[in-house]
Amino acid sequence: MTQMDLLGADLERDTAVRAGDEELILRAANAVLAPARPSGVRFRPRSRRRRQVATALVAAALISVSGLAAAVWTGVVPVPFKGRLAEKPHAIIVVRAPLAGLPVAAPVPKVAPEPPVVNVPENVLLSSPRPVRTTPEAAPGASELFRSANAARRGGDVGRARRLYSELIQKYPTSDEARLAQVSLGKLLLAEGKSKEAEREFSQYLAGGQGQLAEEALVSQAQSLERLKRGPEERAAWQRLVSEHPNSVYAAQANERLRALSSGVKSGP
Amino acid sequence: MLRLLRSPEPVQGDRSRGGDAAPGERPPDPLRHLAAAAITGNLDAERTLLVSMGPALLKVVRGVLGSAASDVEDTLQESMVAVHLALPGFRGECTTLHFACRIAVQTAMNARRRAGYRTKHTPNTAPSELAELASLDLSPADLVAAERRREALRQLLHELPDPQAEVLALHVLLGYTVEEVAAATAVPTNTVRSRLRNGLAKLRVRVRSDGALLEAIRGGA
Repeated sequence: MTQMDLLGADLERDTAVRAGDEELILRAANAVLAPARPSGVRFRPRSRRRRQVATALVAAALISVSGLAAAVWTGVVPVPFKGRLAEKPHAIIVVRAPLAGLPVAAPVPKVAPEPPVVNVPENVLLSSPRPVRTTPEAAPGASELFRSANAARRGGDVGRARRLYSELIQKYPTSDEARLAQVSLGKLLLAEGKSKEAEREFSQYLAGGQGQLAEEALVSQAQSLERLKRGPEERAAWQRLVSEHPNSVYAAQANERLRALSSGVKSGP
Repeated sequence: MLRLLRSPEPVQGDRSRGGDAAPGERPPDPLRHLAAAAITGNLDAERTLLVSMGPALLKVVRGVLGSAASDVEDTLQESMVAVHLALPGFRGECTTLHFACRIAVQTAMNARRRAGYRTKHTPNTAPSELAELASLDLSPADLVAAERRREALRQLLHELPDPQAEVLALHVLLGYTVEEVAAATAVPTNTVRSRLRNGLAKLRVRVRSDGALLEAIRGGA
């Protein structure tokens, strides 16, 4: 994978939907539509309300002046909280608040605490905001499988993550994502105590030549071999790490383990 | 992943690609009716609209500022305020989400400039986030490398002229194709292609040079 491809993966990971996002978005939306408060009681952001409005006015003016051409993008639009607005009644005061410098609209009576009755089209998606670009029947590609597997792992669904990584490696064995998935899958297996299967994944990754995660793969391979009590092979893995990656962050750990293995050999019968 | 992509050809019957839209007609916009209701003052509709677009706006803000930035929520709110203010002027020339995301890109870039991100730095990542990211597939060194790559993009967005930065952000953060960026920004396709090519070339240099710097740091430790 090139550095640019890695940047793409970094951005996906960094900007992915996460726990707490729903509350954050609701908070922001409510703050936009919240009523004015008595002087001295200000809602977020406290110290930047005026700058916020000024920035918003500038952005709005730029958009209005430049104009928007007819779009050709026809992706479906996500609504991540489909159904939840109906499930979670809320009491929101929707009296329109005067934003600084803007005309004040007529006050709107309090809305009863029931969910808004606005039908969202059925063809919107719930998951990623990225538009779907494939037909419904098309099999997921390597990058999509990789993203889904990582999301499952982050969400704690280890079984699903393992299945998706395995599917990715099986279906797209020569892809860059499959190479990365080998290390991820191996670590999942190692964490589950399946040292033999884990060691196989790391070996296959390392057999494919120098990769971005070579150091991690060597460390994990050595740890797998330790659990399998295959001392000579474990020593070889640590030695390979030290010789091929002398400046690795794992070098100290490797040297310590090599010393321990040597002591163990010396103290043997 | 980061390549100049062409829009796929519309497939007959494939609504996601506008296959049902006749030439010259607008593509389907699931949020159009919400936007229309919001413009008339329907606050419930506007709230639903903002919440529906929230994940995409948040994605943009995180991409421009970094997910660990302290002002992500504030900037998201600013973006929503900007969308709220711009809605009355929205005439439906593009999809509603497209319209809002472009506002979010500009708002986030302005927020970054205000915050004075003028020098390269690697923001501290919260320990819980590091632990989550490093749990299985990223070493500490990889985490640092990943953040440096993202920071290279953010720094470049900060330094480029607005038109180029906007084009780069829409392509890299939201995955818009050249044609989609051209439609959103009302700029000829060739101009977008040229801006993207220049922007991506500069980004490659930044990312590679930061990677080399990281290796130098590793070697000097």
